[in-house]
Amino acid sequence: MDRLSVFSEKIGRPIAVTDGMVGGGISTGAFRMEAASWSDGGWNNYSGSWLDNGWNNYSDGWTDSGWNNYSGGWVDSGWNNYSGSWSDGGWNNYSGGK
Amino acid sequence: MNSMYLAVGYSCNHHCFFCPIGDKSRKAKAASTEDLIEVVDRGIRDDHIDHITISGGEPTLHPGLHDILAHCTENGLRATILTNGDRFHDRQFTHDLFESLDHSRISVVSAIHSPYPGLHDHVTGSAGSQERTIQGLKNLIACHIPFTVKQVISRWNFRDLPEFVRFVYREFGPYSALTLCGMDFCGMNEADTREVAVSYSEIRPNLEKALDYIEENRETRGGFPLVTVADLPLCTVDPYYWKYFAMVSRGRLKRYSAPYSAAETGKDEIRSSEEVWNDCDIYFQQCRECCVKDQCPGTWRSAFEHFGETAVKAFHKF
Repeated sequence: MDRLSVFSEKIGRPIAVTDGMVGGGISTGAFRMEAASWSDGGWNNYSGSWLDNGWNNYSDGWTDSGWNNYSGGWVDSGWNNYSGSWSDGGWNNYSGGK
Repeated sequence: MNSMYLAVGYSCNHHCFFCPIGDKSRKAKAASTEDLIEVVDRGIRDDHIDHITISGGEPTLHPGLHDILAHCTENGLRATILTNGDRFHDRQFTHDLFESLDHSRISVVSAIHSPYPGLHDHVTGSAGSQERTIQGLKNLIACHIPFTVKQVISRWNFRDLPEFVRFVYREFGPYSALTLCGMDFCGMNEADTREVAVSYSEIRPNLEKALDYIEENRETRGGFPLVTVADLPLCTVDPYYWKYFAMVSRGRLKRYSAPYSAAETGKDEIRSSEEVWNDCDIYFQQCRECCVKDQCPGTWRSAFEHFGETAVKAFHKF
């Protein structure tokens, strides 16, 4: 069977086109997940690996400053716009549900 | 994967410039929770679905969303919620919505249109929406709900693609997957389409720079859990980057269900279509001559109609 290759100008040589080459996107090697079903098997890897360590980083690291921005920033003016615009008319128009 | 698309209603708290919903006048604001659950049951029973995409309108405005999600996950489905993420900025709302649900079966996809609040809010027509969506997605992390930040590439934001990727990592660290995708002009008039449409050749250098950053970021910091380029043809970039491309919209759904206001009766009802084919496929003559046409994610039909035959370029075997 003919092997399908196309030329990559970026790396200056041909690249073999394989069946699995396009289809799932790409993730870090340890957390390979299928794009169309990445919440399936993927999250088992996810929770079993970087998530555990990750949560420690989460609380120790970038959220701390994030929450300061949260309380000190958008909430004040944000809520005024929020309640004053879509929610008034929006909920009146909303007819469905239980 | 057998997948079903469920629109729970067409109410929305944003007014996006390129909203694909089109003529909303014949579309119901929302369907009842009971009717929607019945449609899900039909999908499980008749089509053996194992995945459901819950959309709208804005699905978080539906008061029955928790019950619908609970029903889906308890019946073995994986559920993806397509949402603008705005309401998740309310921590109590987010906690109440996801509490008691099987988190391992739920994921969220939200679009952020620009790293710059002004442009994002211009696209959504909602002041402060970028900040609310960012905070909302951070609240999902606290609830252990996985999410994907999506950017729909337009003339307004394509130059900022490298900065956008940096911005997403800065905001969410390793907790957000990333999708960069081509725009469907469906539902937009010609003038609006001209305003936002950007050719694949213009996208190319910026998308490649963004993907270069993603590679560097993966090597130095661990990177995003998943990166996907979707709804763009392979000829948008050098073949080196094809590993990021995914076949997301090309192909068929098992079932598409959405509420409509029936003109005859004046009542809202849910209409379903089975074996729906997405409007994302191989439309160009160049595509038919291309050696990777079977691997290509394709283009939106609306993009083919807008750009014409010169928009793509066939690859030939080396």
